[in-house]
Amino acid sequence: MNKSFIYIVSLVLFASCETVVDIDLEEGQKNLVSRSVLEFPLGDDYGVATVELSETSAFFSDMDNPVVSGAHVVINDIYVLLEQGENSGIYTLDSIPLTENGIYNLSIEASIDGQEGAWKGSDYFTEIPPVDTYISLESGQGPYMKDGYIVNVTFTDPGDEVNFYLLETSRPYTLDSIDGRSNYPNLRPYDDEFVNGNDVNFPIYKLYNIGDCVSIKFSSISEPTFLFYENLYQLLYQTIGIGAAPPFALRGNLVSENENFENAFGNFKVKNVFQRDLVIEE
Amino acid sequence: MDYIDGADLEFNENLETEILYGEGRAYGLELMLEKKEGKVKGWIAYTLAKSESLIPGMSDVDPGINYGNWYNNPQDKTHDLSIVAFYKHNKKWSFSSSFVFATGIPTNYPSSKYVYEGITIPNYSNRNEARLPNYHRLDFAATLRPLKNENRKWYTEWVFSIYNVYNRKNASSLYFREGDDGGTKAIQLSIFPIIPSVSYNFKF
Repeated sequence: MNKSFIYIVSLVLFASCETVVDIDLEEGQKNLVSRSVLEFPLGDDYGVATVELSETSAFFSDMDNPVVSGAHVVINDIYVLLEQGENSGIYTLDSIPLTENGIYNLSIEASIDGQEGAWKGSDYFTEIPPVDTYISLESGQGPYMKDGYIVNVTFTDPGDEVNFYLLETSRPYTLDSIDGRSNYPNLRPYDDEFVNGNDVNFPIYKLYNIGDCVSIKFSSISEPTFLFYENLYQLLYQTIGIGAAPPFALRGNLVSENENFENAFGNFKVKNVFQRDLVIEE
Repeated sequence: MDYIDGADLEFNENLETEILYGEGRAYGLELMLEKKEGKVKGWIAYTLAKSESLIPGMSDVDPGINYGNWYNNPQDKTHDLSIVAFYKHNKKWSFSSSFVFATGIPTNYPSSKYVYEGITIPNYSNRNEARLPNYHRLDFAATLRPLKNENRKWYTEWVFSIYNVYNRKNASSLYFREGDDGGTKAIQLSIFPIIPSVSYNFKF
């Protein structure tokens, strides 16, 4: 009898606290989404620009976001990026020289939903210190943890300046399926607040097996780009519910130049990149 | 005072950097009708209100909250109605009931989404532009005051009550996450379903 009473009370108090509900969300005005990056490989004075343009879509839509084709994309009013293939929404140009002041301005003119829009964004080059990598064996702690190998990125952080970094890692792939290295889905922004001027060992927290391949990009980025990534993580992983900070619209540095649209989503960043493809070996 | 966009509240020793200050204004109308005599007593109270904040940025490059425009603050309730009734059946039994209705509190809903660096990112509307579903609830209580209380300096009573009689799942928050089928679902978090209770009061 007592047990039944406890079960009933527990059921009443704790059951069905979360419910899937149907709500009508008004779709906001469509806007431009831009993944724009100008990459200077470590030690190279010429960079490669890649701009991927797409549109926002309804929140509950199952469709892929439409790409934005036929746009006019220019860096520093001189370097015109060309669309790769037909209706790809991907614009590229290589051999963009490093400027004296390191500042780059991106201009995008595109048509979204029948309306002409223009956006401009700016970012600056920051030099990455010499970087190296090594692979170490990690012993599994406890009965359910396996042994494996981890990749470590090492560098000496410059002590006389504030630095911001971005580590991008591919999924593990094999030499037979090398396509895997073209994607870098794991992102980790990092600042030198606690390691300024020190030798830094930056481990990638993933266990690899012998024969796995992994590609990494370790970049120096500007402070605004770092803050953009911090806000992105804050938006995706912030606490929800009573007392939590409210969610927000994440805006990057692409400012709308006319009244047809608000600032674009995404960001334009300039990176100095150390890139390496690694095969895990003993 | 309100959180900045993207406020980081966890393990943050400098919480003051996550808050902005500004102006507030509130205005509205309050009405109340009360019955104090007879076997049935009670009141009806209604408030029509508007409560807003204006929080500009700290510098030219800081847009503040909601681009420095007036927006609903988290306490804003357009309509707030409460109906309360007491009925004394006899010397032993009395009954009471209350009904409350309030406009849902302001919140943010996503208005679109996009993919960036392979991550699907919700795009939220302006601060507090949307609202949670309306809140309403009916409570009921029956009070038994045994007759043996008469001629005593102290008395006891039993109260049998039901909170949220029709088990309304009022939303305390609403969030979005991917379901098992890969689609995005809206999840409403509700607390306090129907709660029956018995209490024993001893007064002296």
